[in-house]
Amino acid sequence: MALSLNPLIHQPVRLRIMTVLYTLRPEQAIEFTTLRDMLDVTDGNLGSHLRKLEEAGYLYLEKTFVMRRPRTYISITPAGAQAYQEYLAALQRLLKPPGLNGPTSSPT
Amino acid sequence: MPESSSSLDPEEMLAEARSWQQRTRFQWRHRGLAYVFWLWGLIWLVGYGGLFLWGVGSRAGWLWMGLWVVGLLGTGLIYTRYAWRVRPVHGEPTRAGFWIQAALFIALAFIVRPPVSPYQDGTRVVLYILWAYAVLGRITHRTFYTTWAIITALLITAGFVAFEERVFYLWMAVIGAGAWALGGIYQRRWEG
Repeated sequence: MALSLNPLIHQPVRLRIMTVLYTLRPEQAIEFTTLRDMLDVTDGNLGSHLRKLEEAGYLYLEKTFVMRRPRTYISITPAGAQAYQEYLAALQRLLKPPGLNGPTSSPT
Repeated sequence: MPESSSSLDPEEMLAEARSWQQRTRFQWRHRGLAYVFWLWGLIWLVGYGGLFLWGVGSRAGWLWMGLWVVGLLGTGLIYTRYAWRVRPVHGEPTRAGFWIQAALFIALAFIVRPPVSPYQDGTRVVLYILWAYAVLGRITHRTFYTTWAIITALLITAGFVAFEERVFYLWMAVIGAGAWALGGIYQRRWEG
């Protein structure tokens, strides 16, 4: 069976990143160190995964200052949210093929 | 480094996604807000409880002054700790919702206006503060602010319309503080 899962999201750390950002909704942005602590990864590791997702257009990174301290806020883009939804749908399809409990049964 | 996607079990990945959705929703989205609600629930319990026990007087006045300081400092500290971690990307309020709330609070302010006794005046001040919370909720897209501000405003109005002064304070201490506390619990209901 051909695996049609998005390889960018089908990786544990990137899946967690996308899940956190998708769950926060597109209008919410999370600060870099908060996300790092939440996922329990290093700065470099998180940075490299974020870069890949940003290059794909899935994430938006905004560098700003809060009380004179540099902060990076990360949010999911509409394209990222759609890709995440499609990824989850593909996972569910893989786990529950439509033929098994499809809509073919008629009411009695 | 090449990555293999076929080595990752779809079932595990789906479980992982669901687990992180839940964790995010209940650990971060409203985490700071729950503490704010509990803090103000405690303040209302002590403050209005004091008014019920001792009545309006200098002792109650000092108590409320102290409680306001604790409340404002506490709220500030909680938000210093939590608010910057997750912030809205677009801070645009929803206009229709905003004007509905504005109309509701103006109507409430008129209801509690005459006849004006000291405790009724105090109620009006609380209403205006709750209105500010509701506006803040709209601006920051934190709908729980709005929901609980409205619930609490309705509680105040119910207490104001229905009871004599002393019972009103007891109502506020128990039902009002309870509303804040339940608001906090509701936001952290699935957190482990």
